[in-house]
Amino acid sequence: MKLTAVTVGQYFPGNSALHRLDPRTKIIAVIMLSVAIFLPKAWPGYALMAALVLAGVLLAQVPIKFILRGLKPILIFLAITVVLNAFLTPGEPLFYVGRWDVTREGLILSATAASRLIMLVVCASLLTLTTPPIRLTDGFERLLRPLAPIGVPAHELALMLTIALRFIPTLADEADRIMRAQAARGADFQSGNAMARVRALVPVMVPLFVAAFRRADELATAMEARGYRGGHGRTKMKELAFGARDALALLVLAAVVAGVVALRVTGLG
Amino acid sequence: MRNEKLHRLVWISVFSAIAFVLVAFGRVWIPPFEPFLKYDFGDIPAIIAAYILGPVAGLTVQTIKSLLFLISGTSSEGPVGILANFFAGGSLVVATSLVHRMVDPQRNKHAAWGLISAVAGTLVMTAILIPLNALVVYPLWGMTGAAAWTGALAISTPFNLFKGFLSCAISLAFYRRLEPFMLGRSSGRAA
Repeated sequence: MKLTAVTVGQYFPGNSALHRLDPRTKIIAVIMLSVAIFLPKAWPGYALMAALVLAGVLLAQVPIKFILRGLKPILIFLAITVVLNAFLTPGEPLFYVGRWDVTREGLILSATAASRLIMLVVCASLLTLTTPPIRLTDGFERLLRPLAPIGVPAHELALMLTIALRFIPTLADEADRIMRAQAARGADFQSGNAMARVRALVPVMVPLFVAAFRRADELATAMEARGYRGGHGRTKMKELAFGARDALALLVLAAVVAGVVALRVTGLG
Repeated sequence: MRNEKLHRLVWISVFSAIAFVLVAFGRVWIPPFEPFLKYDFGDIPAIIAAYILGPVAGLTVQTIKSLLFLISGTSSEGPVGILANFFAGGSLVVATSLVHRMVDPQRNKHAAWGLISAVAGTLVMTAILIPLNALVVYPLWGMTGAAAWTGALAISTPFNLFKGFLSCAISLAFYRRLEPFMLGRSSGRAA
């Protein structure tokens, strides 16, 4: 596997309505949606949620294949969930596969479980497709800042995320170089069974760690030399701006979630 | 005077970056287990960080790794997979390093103590994960009740035992080889 192909994040550059939203708005939206996805009890509620997620997909103006790509790895889970629920749920039998009966209740449970999972993954993909990781880090920091007095290290977490994001491509390059250097000396990473391949990677990791230790000390010393004193009083090159469109987006979202809650309370969905 | 807090912070960040890279460059499916349970090396930097800098640092590495996957959107199993991985990795790191501190308070790093803590840590992690998987992770995947308990016990538990022990064993082997490069920040003094 080519390691230099490791890019951090799946951000798809664009200028759509979703791209322009403040990262904080999008993080809050995804958290609200992730909870709301588990609220509906019947199809009208699911239809409302699905319409909202679909609207998000359309607004993002990201090619549909990028969104589908996010769903590919969960196909196996979807298959297991659907099959298990369809066969194992007791209820009114619809038809038989061999000596196993597929029940009406089982099919409904399969469909709800699958649609929840799909909506959850699509929401998360929309967030990461329309927001670069570093903007999301900024968003997290700002959202967590009010919790700082009770001991949540908002700034430190954001700083660690930023440093890690900065180091990932460097370390991936480093790992690639080490692997090629060892392949040139006869190391074999491709053949053998799984355990043999696990063992072949061990000698790659020691130099990787050693190189990383050196870089970490250099960076920490450089930060100290430049007078880094923590987050207090720090200014930013790119300030986040919460505007009218963010307020509008959150209002629409709150209205739809209220609708889902109302459907559940009245027993309709 | 060195700003130890800053050095510690940067080390944790770099350990998290290594963890991310290691996961990105190889998830190995080890055949007797289900194909969705793949072995990755992502826990190793966290365990080493816990040995060098303490259990809190190890848990922080796991947290940052999970957040990295969350904000980059590159996890192969989506948000639920990240949550499951965080539960597993976090309990493994904390359990292993706490047991290690209990059985080897002088930090002599006797290999036998290391192995004992690896076994104990793995057992604790597996025990914590059974209810977490059955009550949180499997229901999120759409399996509830008996199906979730069956999955947690029959599918996840053997894999967790295997994965936890393998990660701890590799980390211990590493730790001994990495010590000469620690620039004086071995476990006697949390940098």
